[in-house]
Amino acid sequence: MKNILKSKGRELLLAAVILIIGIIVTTITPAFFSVINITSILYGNAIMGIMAIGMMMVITTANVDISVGSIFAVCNMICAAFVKATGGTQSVLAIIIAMAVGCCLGLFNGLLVAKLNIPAIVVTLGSMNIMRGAIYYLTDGAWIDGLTGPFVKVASRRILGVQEAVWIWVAVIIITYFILYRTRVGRNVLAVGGNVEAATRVGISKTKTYLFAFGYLGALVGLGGALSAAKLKIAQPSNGIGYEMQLIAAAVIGGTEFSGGVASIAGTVLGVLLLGVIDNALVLAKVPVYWQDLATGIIIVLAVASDALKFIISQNRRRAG
Amino acid sequence: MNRKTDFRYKNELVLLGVFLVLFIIFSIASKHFLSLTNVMSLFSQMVELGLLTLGMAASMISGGMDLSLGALTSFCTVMLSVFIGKLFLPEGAAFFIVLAIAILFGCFNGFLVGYLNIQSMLATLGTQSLFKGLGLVISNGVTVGIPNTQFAVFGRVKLWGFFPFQIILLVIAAVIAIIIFNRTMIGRRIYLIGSNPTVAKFAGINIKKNIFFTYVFSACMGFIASLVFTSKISAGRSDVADPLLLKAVCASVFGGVSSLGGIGNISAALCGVAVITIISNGLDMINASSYLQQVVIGGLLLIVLAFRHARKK
Repeated sequence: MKNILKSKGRELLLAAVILIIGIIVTTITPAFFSVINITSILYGNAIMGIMAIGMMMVITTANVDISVGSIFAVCNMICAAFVKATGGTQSVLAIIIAMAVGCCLGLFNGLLVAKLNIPAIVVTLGSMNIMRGAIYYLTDGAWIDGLTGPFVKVASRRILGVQEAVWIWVAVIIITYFILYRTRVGRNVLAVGGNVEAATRVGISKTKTYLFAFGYLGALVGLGGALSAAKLKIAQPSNGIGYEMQLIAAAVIGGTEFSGGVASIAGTVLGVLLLGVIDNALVLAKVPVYWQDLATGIIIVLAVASDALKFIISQNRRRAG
Repeated sequence: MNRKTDFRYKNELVLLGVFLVLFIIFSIASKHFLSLTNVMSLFSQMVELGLLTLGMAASMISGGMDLSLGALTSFCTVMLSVFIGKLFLPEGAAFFIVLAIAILFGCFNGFLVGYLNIQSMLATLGTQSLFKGLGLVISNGVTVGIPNTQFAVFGRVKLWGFFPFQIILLVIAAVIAIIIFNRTMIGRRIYLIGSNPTVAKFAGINIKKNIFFTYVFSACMGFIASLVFTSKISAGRSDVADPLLLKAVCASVFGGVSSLGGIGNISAALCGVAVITIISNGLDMINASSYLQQVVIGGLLLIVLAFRHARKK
């Protein structure tokens, strides 16, 4: 029991915080714990949740990708254009195209980061600008709306009473768990993130590992872009601005370490849900939307500051003992 | 002597060369480019980006990256506008109160990064949301206007009818920053901390205090930029400086400042500002799509990085 508390302390804490917020909100509006509201929170955060898993993978390699918002916009637009052209009959193909485009863009980032030996934030800053500018330039800022056909039901169709987007999220979580802890490439991600030098010494390829992590993130962002097009029936080139911050925040709140080597899938899911629940609670409590950024900021600062304090205290204790 | 100067200021020379080439190209391409009005507006456009780049370069030299700088600047414009436009405080009082707030926020960043030893990108990512959120809450998400008063001096007054006053602000701030980082102990210490914190520690340098100083310095630059913003648009908005944050990182990287810390000159980062500004201004002048600017700046960033990497090998 003590071991579980110690190893899963972060996840339990997050779950407790989410519950407490839920209970507080229930006293204001009983709607919070209703099945409808809970499924709507899950549905509302599914796309962010899918992409946050990818971001977690990249952060675990001790990198970060701030071009995700731009990748999202590109995939979103390409998917919508394809759906518009085919009348939405080829749902699976549309999603595969979006994921393939996202994956290629991610691989491009990964290649640059691995080969140029430059902090990922600077490299992806460049690609973020290029992709965003390009998608605006090519579309001239115009929206693609009026998406129809079977495709638009992909995200919202209900299976066992829960929307399909949520099931896709669950599938991504399971697949990522399998990759990270049961396959060689997943172990490599953890190893390279923990210590690049040591990992390359034992023969793990840094380039391949980076390519995998960035490609995986890109594919998941592409999936998110396709689901968003299906959910909203509209795509616009300004979509996804600021997503990078939300995704990084969700992963970091969940206990994925920025210095690499430590991943938490459950924590990332809870991180997304915590941010989502707070947004939802603020809406239900009729607080102006402007408070959401502030709430997010306070939570990130609290999360990272408490980690740092814990580290300092444990070091002092070790020194004293 | 000559060889040494050449080596030290190579980045500056290259960037100034690029600036001149672009200047000539745009002068030929657009008949409106080479006019006193446009050249002056070109220089005045450098001011806000230049100020933010000074702060950004400082934090990058120390081995971090102050991602909250844009949000802090925007927040200061909101506070200035609220104090002057809504609470009708005297402008001098508003000036000093907001300066104090900016320094306080810088201290908070410095505390998180220096004393709690949190990765700077992570800490400032949090404070970015925090400052932005505060700005949104205080301004209710709308633009807060201020009356047209003597506050205009920071952004709209032109000396002798053509010389924008805010350029002087940038020059003063730049001189101070260059002196601090190239000529004083504290600057040398920040360089050493950026390039190798372990060595710095064993050399007896107080890392916490110097990192703390870096973020306070960065916040001060953000404050000065907010004066220019507020004056220029006679208003404050909680997202006014957002687009400049990443441009400031670009400018610093153009100038050879490495985000790994310890490398790069403040003066070269300012040359980076000049190049970025002339690209934006020149592309505007030849009526290129504003979306194209983003592609060009992002592409240049990657090319510069690839080029440096190739040369290092």
